[in-house]
Amino acid sequence: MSTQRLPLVDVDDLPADLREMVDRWREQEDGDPNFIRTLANAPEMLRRFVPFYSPLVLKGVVEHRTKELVRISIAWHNQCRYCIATKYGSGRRAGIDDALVQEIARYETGPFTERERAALRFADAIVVDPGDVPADVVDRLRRSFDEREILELTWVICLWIETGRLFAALEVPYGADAPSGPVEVPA
Amino acid sequence: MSLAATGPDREILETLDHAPHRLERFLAFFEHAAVEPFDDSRLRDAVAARVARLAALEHAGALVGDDLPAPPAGLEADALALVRFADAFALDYQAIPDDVYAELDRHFDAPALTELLWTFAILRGIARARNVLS
Repeated sequence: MSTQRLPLVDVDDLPADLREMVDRWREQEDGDPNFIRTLANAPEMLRRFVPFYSPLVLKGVVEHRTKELVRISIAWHNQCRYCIATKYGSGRRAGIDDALVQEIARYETGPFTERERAALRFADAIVVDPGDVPADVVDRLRRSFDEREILELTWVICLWIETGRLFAALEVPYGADAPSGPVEVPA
Repeated sequence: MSLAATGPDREILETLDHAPHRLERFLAFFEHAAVEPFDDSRLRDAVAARVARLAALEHAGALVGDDLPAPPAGLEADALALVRFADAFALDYQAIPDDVYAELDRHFDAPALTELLWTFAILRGIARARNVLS
C-alpha cells in the first residue's frame, strides 16, 4: 500500500505549459516527472518556483557537476528515495556515472577534485549542525571558492536538505508509472 | 505584503543576490507562495513563527528528544495542525505520525497542502541558511 501523502497529478491532466515542462525535464535531464506531478497540485506556485530553481541548479556561479555531487550526497543523508533515484542528465554528461556515485560517501579518498571535496565536506557540516560549521571546513572552502560561489553553495545545500526531507516525509514515489489520483494512507 | 511578516529577514534573502535575477526570481515565487495558501496572516505567522522558534532551538543545540515548547495558546485548529506538523517534522521527518497528516487533511485540500508544505520546507531552508551565514 502506498503511503505517499500528496496525490500525483496525471501528466495528461496538467495544463499545457506544465506538460511542456515535463517534456523538457524528460528530454534535457532524463528527469522523472513526479517532482512536477507533486508540485503541480499548486500549479501557479510551480510556475513561479521553476524559474528560480532551475538556473540555480543547472547554471549559476558554481559548475553543475559539483552541485550535483553535493545534491546526491544530501539525498543519501536525508534518505530521500526520490532524491537518490533522481539523476540529472547534465550530471551524467559531466561524468557522474553510477560508479562515481558509489564513491561519494568516500569523497576524501575517491576520484574527486579538491574543490569537489571541499564542497562535499561543507555540505556534511551543514547537515550535521548549520550553526556550527567548523572553521577549518570554511577555511578549506575559501581556498577553492569565492564569496559568490560560497553563497550559492550555501543556498542549494540548505534548500536541498529541507525540500529533500519534505519529499522523504511525503514519500514521493519515483517512476513515471506511479499512480495518480487519491492517495491511500495506512489506517 | 511585507516579507518581515513571513519570518525571513531581508538581510538573509539578499544573500541570494549573488547571481543575476536570482533574488527577484525567488521573491516572485516566495511572495506568491507565502500569501496564496495562507489566506490570512494568522496561518502564515503561526507557521513562520514556529519554524523560526525551532530553528533557534536547533541553533542553540536545544532541540532534543520530545521536549518541544508547547504550541502558542489560542491557535485555531487549522493553525495548530500546521504547528504540530512542523514539530513532528523537526523531531523526525521520517516518522511523522499518521494522525498529524490526518489532521492536516481535515483542514486543507491537496492544492493548499502542497503550497503550505512546500513553503514550510523553503522557510526551513531559509532558517538553515540563516544559521550558516550568521
